[in-house]
Amino acid sequence: MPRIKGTLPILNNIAVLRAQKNITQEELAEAIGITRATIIAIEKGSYNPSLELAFRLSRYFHTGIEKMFSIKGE
Amino acid sequence: MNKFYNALHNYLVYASPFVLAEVIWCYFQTSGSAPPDATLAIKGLWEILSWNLMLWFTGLAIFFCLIAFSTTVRKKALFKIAALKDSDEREEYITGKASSSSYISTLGVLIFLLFLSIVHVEINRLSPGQSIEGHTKEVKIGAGINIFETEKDKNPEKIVAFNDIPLTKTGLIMLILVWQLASFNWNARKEIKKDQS
Repeated sequence: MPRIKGTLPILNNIAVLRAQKNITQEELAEAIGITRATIIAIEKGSYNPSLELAFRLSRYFHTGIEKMFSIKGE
Repeated sequence: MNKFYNALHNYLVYASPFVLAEVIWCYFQTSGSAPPDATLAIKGLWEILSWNLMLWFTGLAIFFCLIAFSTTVRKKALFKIAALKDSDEREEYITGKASSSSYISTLGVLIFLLFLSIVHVEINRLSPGQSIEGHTKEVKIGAGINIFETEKDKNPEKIVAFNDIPLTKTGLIMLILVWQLASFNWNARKEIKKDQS
């Protein structure tokens, strides 16, 4: 098995999905049960959500986790 | 518990200016009591502020006991210190990272202070008669650990007297070091056990 070194640069399209649904960061935060600061950090890519939060987001947007999150360059 | 914590927290915050005022007043009023020629109002104010001071320190002691033993209170206090309003996983991640960084840095500072307090370095100039092979200076390097203060006052009339922490600087640093290591280890084990159960 090849060893994966360092951190994986993870991208997400939460901002796009949110825009498609026409909701604010505040509304999304409230619906998911987290703070707006966390939504901002996720959208900016400065914070990677936990698996549980990723599932909560995927349920909210009715889309798969792998469609919301991707690894840069793949 | 929540109501008690909130009440205690609010009291400690809002009463702190009065505590500070009393401390400043005490600094200038060296007699330890209100001036004898003061009016009844001033004497009354002195009494109220003094009782508030004692109550505040008692509250502070209770607060630190709660912080040491209650996870909920510790979390709340940590969030307040980190200036976070709400709690979610990112906030926990931030406080966790900040805690581990501050833990390691405090440990480093404590180890350095312990080293400074136990190491003894002396450079002396030797008198002409003491010089060895033409060398006129000597370097003494040593280390010593004294944990408890030696008793200075041996008054047989005194039954109980408490003035200060009965530890030397080295003892105090070692106590904080052991406390840091033990509390971190104990909390980490508790979290691991929680995950396994």
